[in-house]
Amino acid sequence: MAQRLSIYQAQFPRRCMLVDVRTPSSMSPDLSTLPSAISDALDLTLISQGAEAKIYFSHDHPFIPSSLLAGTISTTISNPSAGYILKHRPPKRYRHDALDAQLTKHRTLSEARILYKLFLAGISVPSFIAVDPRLGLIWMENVDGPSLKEWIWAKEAEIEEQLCDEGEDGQSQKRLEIIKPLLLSVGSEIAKLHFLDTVHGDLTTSNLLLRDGSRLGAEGAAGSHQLMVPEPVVIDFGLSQQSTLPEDKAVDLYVLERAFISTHPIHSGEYVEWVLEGYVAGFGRGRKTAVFKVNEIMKKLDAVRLRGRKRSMVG
Amino acid sequence: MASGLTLRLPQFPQSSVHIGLYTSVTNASIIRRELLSGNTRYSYAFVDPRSVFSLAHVLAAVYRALTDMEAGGMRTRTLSSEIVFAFGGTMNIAETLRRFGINDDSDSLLVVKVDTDQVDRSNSVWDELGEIVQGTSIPVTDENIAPLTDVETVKKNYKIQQGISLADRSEATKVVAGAIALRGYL
Repeated sequence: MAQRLSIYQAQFPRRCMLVDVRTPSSMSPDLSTLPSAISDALDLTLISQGAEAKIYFSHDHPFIPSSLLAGTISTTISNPSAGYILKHRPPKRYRHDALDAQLTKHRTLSEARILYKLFLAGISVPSFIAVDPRLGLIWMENVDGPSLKEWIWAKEAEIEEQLCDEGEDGQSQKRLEIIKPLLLSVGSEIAKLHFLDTVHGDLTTSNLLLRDGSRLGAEGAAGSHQLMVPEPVVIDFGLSQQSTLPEDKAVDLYVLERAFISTHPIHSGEYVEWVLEGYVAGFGRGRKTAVFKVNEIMKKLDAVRLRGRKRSMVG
Repeated sequence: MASGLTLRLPQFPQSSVHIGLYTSVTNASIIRRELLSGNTRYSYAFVDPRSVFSLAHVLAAVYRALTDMEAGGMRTRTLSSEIVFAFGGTMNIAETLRRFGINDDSDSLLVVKVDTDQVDRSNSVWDELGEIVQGTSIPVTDENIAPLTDVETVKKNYKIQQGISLADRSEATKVVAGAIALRGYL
């Protein structure tokens, strides 16, 4: 199967190939649940498998031949060399047939609609290309870059290596310079989402990808002038819903907070603080009604924290 | 003899998609009349390029029509009419065919023909079209499609809201291709 990798896939193999393409037994990844018409026609590589869906990578666009992809205005995405993603929700045999068909169709459609609407609203998400609700398929652009989780791990390792002799202060300063601007911009992007009354439903550092194209760090970060940070892209809207309730948005943020605590335990305090700083600054872009709303959400977040898992309600 | 573009959609390697582009068309009303009367010689998708942004836009409509056909879910009688219907973002067939299809006053035409069998008919397609369309055949490229686009017409036909800019063709293509993919589902 395909050995051609995108630039990012060559650097970060862990996220990319769940099936080790080097061993003979895995040379043909399990495509048995994908409709054969599609798996025969296109070169697809399984790159991730969740409880609900399988994610495939393809160098080919479903309907634009490669000869045309090179042209600038004929492309539907900005970076054809990054490839495309096919998200497949296979049928679940343990469910009742009719129910399964309905669930698959509904969840696929919901995700596709949200991707498109968020794109129209200017939020940073993968470009939506096509959908087949009956078969549970969504085509979208691939984001060629690491997840926030991988990026933070890499940067922390880099900082530690470069400044191991300088001690904690030097390293902490570096984190401020390098990691904070990005987390501010992450917070700001989530704020845009919440301002549109959309909650993600599964906000983790694995569902935030970083696109290679850089842009200037968000305002307010010390030393961020002229520093280029990657652009955060929000992915995986399979559990998303519309909600105006501050409670739901607070829960969304709390899920992200817990994700930071579990995957980046040492500095999660700083990281969460920076994300929330970016969130508050970016919510509604400082409009008066927005300031009131975001305060409501922050208050709810405090309440949700008190409730959380493994919290004693005694006393 | 000028000819158009023949290509294959990656997901449908068995099917050939022929696309032609004509300017200075003088017999639009005649073509339309023959088309409506069911003349089988005219089994092509005739699209008014005023509402077309790019080649990718055209392919998005062809893809939608083909996948609907494969799934047994076509809403019009033929693949050609389904392609024109696919351009629209609504379920209103008559309205979409009127807005995106050939009009009596169309002075340029984008023509699409899909062969779902393996027979190579590309040469005869251009010959036939040359007889049907009284106009000048120009190469089917984004550069040639661009000047024919009327952005106001596109905005009206797709009911594009304020605040969404169609200035960048690549972004605009994403907007219309998304609407095409989500027709009936949004």
